[in-house]
Amino acid sequence: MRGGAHAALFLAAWGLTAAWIQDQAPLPVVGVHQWKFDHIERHRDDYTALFFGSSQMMGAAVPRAFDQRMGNRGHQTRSYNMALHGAVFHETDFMVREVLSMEPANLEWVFVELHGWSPRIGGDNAFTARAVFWHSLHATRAALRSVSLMEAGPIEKGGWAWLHLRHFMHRAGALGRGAEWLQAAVKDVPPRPRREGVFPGAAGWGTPRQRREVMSGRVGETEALGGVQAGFDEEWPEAIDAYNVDALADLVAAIRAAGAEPVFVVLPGSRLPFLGGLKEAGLLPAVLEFQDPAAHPELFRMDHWFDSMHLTTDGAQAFTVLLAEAFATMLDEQTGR
Amino acid sequence: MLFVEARFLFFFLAVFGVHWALRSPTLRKAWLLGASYTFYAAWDWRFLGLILVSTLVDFGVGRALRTEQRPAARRAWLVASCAVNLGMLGFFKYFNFFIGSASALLSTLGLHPGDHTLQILLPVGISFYTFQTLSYTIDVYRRDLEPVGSLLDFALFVGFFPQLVAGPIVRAGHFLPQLAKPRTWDTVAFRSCCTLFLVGFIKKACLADGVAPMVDQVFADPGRYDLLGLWTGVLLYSVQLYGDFSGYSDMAIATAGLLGYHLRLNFDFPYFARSITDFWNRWHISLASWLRDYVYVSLGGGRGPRWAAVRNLMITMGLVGLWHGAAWNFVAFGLFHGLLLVGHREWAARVREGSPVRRLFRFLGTPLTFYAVALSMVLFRAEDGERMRVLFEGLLLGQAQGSRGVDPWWLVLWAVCVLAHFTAWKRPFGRPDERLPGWAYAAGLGFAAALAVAFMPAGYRPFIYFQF
Repeated sequence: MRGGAHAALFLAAWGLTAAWIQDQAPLPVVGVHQWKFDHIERHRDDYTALFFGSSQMMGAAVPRAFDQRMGNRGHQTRSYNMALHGAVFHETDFMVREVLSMEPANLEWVFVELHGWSPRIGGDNAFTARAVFWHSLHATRAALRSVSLMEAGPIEKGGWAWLHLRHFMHRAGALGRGAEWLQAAVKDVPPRPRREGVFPGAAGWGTPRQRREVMSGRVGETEALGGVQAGFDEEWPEAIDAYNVDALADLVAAIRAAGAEPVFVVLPGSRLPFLGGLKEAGLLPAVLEFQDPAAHPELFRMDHWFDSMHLTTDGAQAFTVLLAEAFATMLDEQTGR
Repeated sequence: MLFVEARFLFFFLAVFGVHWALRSPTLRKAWLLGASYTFYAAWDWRFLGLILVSTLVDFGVGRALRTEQRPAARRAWLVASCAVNLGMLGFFKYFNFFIGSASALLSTLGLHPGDHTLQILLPVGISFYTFQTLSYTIDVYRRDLEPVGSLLDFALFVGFFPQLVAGPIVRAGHFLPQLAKPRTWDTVAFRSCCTLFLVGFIKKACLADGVAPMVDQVFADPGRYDLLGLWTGVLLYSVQLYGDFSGYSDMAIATAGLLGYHLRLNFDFPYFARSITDFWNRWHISLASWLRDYVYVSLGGGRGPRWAAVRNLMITMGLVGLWHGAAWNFVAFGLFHGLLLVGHREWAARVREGSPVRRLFRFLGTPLTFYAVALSMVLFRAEDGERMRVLFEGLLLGQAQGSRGVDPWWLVLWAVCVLAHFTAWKRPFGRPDERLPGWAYAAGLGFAAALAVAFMPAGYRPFIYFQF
């Protein structure tokens, strides 16, 4: 009996201390997260619209162009792109909640890229500080539920479940945060960036070989990017399931509770077999779709694509204009203008 | 599976819980053996076969030696055991080293033998369990130990997971009698074991892994650093090496202790040794004492003419170096220490007790010994001959090639380590953890554990001694 009480006391002391360190430490330094979070924390009341999602959204939504076009249409916005390369939906969900917890006073619109709900973290990202970063209790619970519903054998499921649990324990235990906390407390300087490991997107899209080939013009884009396409097909996101429905409804509720309105975006190049199901279920209060080449042929010009997933700078400009137009039209329809 | 990984915690909790829940001593030992093999298989299950071969061969040789009385036959059994164990060790650890060295030698003679090295993986812990099984056979051969009758006991002695992959090297005479008696919970020093595990964790995960990036930078490119930078790198490496290995030993001893088994101390504050002889009585005690008892003494020890004692010492220390790794820098490390030991022995024989010089060295002994040990670490760690030269030129002659300094906080950290180490050695406050009420100890341990985990760098580094 006494042993049990002492064990509980031990765990409580551990948990409280770790939680305190986690709370006192500065934001973990995980590359692009750091400066995006730093920025939004300093300017939390400056923005009325934020974009969240993966590398596709990160490279596609151009805030200045968006605001300008919205202004032309008579809607004043000030937007910021919070999307991150390599983000899975769980991470996007975490990012949205973290920003909402900062209570941005003027935030009206939260644009969320509709992308895969897979609990699989890309190979190179799986064991990074970045992956640990988003494993809050909520996100881990969601990821574990997602694992339980994924189409895979028990060994693979067990592996993914252990990965998420491990990352959760690392985060809950404030593993490695002590130095950052001490450094910030003693030196009052931001901690040094931590190596993220190999991370796609750090130097552009595609593999280095593919980038070289495309840039040198030695091979055609289609030929070079065929490899990317094949790789993408292998990791096609899970289909919609009960978890996804719950998770999406939960996210919508969280955004609305913060006084903002969600806008879901289907980016060009996305193929979401579950989109129809989501719409029918009434889970997408507002959805802007750009995945259909017939509806948006200008987005699907070859020179607007770097690879099969990511737009070039010109492509991003074209997409942003279309996004702003579609969004402004939606607002006009809602307000009867 | 590393002691500092979360999955080890779950593994150990399961092993610990089932171990003490079982009533039958035989079932407990079988459970521990299964757990030990699982632990080893987590590294590479393919090498479990080597442990099984080593176990079966030495168990069989032990049984044969029990009945065999003829000296020649007994010697033949001993040779057979040595041939199998050292053969496996030699093949997996030293084959490429000897082939490569022979090849290089032939090349210097103008011959071109070609590349005959093989792609061989080094089985984790082979140096440790090979020495354990050999100690059993040699002790039985010498009639210092009764052969064990239970294969289960012997297999657990060889494969006991806390010390399987990185020691301490357990002697059969110390461990097998423990297996013969049922373990009881009331003999477990629970609090001491928990404290020791945490101390070992801090040494390894926070200190050794924490300074490793700085050490790596200095040793990777010593030519870029100024004198202070070089010394900082070497001093931090002394922290890393000691923290890594003694931390592992502490955790191994604590883990075994929580299961009711006692392992002997492997490090006894070696950096406070007053002489190099004293250092080797405190550093990696299980290896040093093994080689002393089975190699140095077998060669004749300090008996006979002076040159023979010097020879025996140099051979033994050469083997100490070679045990650490199949490379000439490790051999040089061992021989350097051999020379220091010979020098100290000669000095001690010539300078009489109570003389002023002796009194002076009561104060200078510790810093001089540490200085010599720190220099020897260059041999141990330097990545090639050129970097070794750059380091020695800087450290011995003060001729650093570079101008890059290091953050002075690293030296502050080193000084804090020395102070903490000194406090742990002298224990000016006794053992406060033993005096606290249970609730306060539990809460304090939780607090300290949280800090330790928070201050470990993200990502795991394998223990340095896993490669030996």
